[in-house]
Amino acid sequence: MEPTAYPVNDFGPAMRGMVIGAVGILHVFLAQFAIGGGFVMTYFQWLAGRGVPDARRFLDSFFTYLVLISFVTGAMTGVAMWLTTIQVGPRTIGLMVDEFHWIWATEWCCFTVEIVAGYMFLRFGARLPDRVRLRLLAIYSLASFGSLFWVNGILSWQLTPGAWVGSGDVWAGFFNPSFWPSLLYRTAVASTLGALAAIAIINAMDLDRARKHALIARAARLLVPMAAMPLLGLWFVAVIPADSRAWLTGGSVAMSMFLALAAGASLLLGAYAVVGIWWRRMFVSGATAALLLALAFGATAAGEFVREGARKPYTIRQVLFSNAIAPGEVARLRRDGSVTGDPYPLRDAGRYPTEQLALGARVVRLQCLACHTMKGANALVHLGGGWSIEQLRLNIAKLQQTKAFMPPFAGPASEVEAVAQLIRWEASGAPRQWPVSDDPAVLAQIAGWLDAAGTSATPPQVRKP
Amino acid sequence: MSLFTGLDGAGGYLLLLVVTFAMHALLIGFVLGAAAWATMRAVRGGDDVVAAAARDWLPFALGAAITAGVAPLLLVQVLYQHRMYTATLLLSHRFMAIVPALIAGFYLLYLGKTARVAAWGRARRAAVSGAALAAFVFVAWTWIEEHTLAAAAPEVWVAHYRDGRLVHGDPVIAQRLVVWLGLAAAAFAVGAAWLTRRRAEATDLRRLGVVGLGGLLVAAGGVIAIDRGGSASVPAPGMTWLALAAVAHAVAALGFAALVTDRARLGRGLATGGVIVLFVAVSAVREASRAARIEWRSTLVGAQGVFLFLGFLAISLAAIVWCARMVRAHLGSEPPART
Repeated sequence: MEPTAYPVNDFGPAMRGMVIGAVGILHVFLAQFAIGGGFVMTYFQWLAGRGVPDARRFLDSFFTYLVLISFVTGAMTGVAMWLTTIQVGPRTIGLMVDEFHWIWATEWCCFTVEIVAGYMFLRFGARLPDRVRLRLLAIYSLASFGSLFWVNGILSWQLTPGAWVGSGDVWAGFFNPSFWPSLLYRTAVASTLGALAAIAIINAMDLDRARKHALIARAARLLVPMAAMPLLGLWFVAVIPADSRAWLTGGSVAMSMFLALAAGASLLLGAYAVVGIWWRRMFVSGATAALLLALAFGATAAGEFVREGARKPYTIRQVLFSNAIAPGEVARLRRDGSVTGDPYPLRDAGRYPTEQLALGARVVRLQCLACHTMKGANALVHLGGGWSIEQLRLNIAKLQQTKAFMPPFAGPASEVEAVAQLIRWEASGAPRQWPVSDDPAVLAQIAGWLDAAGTSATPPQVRKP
Repeated sequence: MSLFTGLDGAGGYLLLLVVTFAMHALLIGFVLGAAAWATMRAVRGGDDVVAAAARDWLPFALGAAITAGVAPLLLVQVLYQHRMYTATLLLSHRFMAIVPALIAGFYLLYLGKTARVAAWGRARRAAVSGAALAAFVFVAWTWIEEHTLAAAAPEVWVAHYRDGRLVHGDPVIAQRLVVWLGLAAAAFAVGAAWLTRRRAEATDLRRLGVVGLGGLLVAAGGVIAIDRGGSASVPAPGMTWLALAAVAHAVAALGFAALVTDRARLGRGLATGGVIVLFVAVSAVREASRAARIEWRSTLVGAQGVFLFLGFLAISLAAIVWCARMVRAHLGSEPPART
């Protein structure tokens, strides 16, 4: 028989979200640097054509860094993103590929042009006249922005799939409600990163302070789009679903804090650019530029965390829950069992003293490990180990009501009880002996709770004025 | 040709997969061969125009190979999603190790171009290019392993997962690797013959001819080993392509023989044509075998966006050609400087 389930890997104490988060944040930072770097290069080449001193010298220095960082690690972390997403959410990336593969193929065309134009500039740029150099860099920039344009539509679709949910129309999904604020916000971030990297590199050039200062003042102009970031951020928050907005504005303390971190770091960067660089005409040293870049990295990381977290309890809103179970499948899995069709055995089956605990481990592997571990990050034992058995049963059975950013439990009463027993057993130090819990009255009570909770996600109570 | 028309009307995906994979394999073949040549040159000491060209073009070639590789990576997910994802998950972090291996190899190629490394002794120079070569061979082996595991029976997957294995052991993996490494030598010989066409001496071209012939021989040996192992059953849609591969193999061999016998112009032309057709044909045979053995998804026919892609493909090709013409017009015929 052809297994339909995917094997699930264990990342030890790290939950899967941490794995994709680490790769994703690095890639987003580098990819946006590549795009912003293109803006910087095109602008400085235009300046060079107008005879601005040192502009061309800066370009040749900057482009080496751009190639070494962006063309190598940036491109490779892009491939890594794809492969890591398969590792942590094969069903999610599979659906994205199914729906948007021609969009991705279009993005690949843009990426190819970006690479070719970039390498031509790297290899032949020193011997080309300014006019040709400008054209090459303009094509490079346009292609890299095209790459962002197409990928942004797919990523924003995950949070706000819009009319696609009803119609299945790819364009309705692509130009979804958060497409434009997300695209413009990312463009502003890219420009900021490019400018900050340029300032750091100008400091490393063998020029006197006055000449460096003149170049820095030029590069700082690309920080201007930062002024729009607060408005773009508000626009983004306004168009996301009400429940997602509720997480960001106090519903989830962690997400609210990360949002505050992203906004605070961006505000600090913007304030420094306005007050320090434009108004006071301060010289930006290499160390300061590096610190600002680190701050920008922190803002990017926090922003990506918020973007990912705001989708809960979905990985693709209204289509796939965080654990890659579709809303329409929950009722069937409640009836048939969630792991009945899973052919993959437990690697540590001998560890469990009863079949019930082994069943619990298989259910946890399928339904919980997307966001939790048993004893590591966001551990089930830490969350539920101190609850009474009745609390555990109730909270798991009514999972989407226990916490509104959790998906509904997708299994029968026997699986709820198996998970509850497993958490209790792990919290008790995994003893060699453990009683089987199969009281029909308990299972009937759990079944009643499951029925009462229903099979849908529960939006939080959003306070209305 | 029925390979692309006989499978539920979704052969367009397969055609794109074959073409883009062949392009990727050609480029990565050049990378493998060039890294091997640079390593051997460093071990032997001294330098030659082929090694210099190899070191000079390697980073671009790898960048182009990786970019070209993204297309088949996408198409494999469209056509064989469940199997591809399952194999990737089963090989787990051992598979993911290809990413740091490629990053390390990439930076080593840039390092190998620097004046500082050029001033190093033989052992250290050989270590730089040799380590890059080892990284790329590891990546090639891992992809073949992934391909093989994806085509395996579900019972194999279950056993693999149960035992917590990170390596899929199958003799055909080594045999396939031998075929691709042989083809890589041929791709490198052709690429290097073009890159050095204005500077290479007869001795250099003769060496490249020998490398190309040796590569074709090794590839043929690999195919014979796969056949003897019983894993080489080619379905009917692949037979035309197998025949074409045999013809292209012979043409490429003639081309390399011409290089060995100092007929450079004829040799380059024949070897180039033969090797390109050979890569496309081998890629088609590979896909025909896979499509016949495992289920593939034809449900995506009619997915929206194909015309957008075709339009952008045309625009992108035009942009690339325009860039190349613009640069060429301003550089004239002067030889490229090292970057």
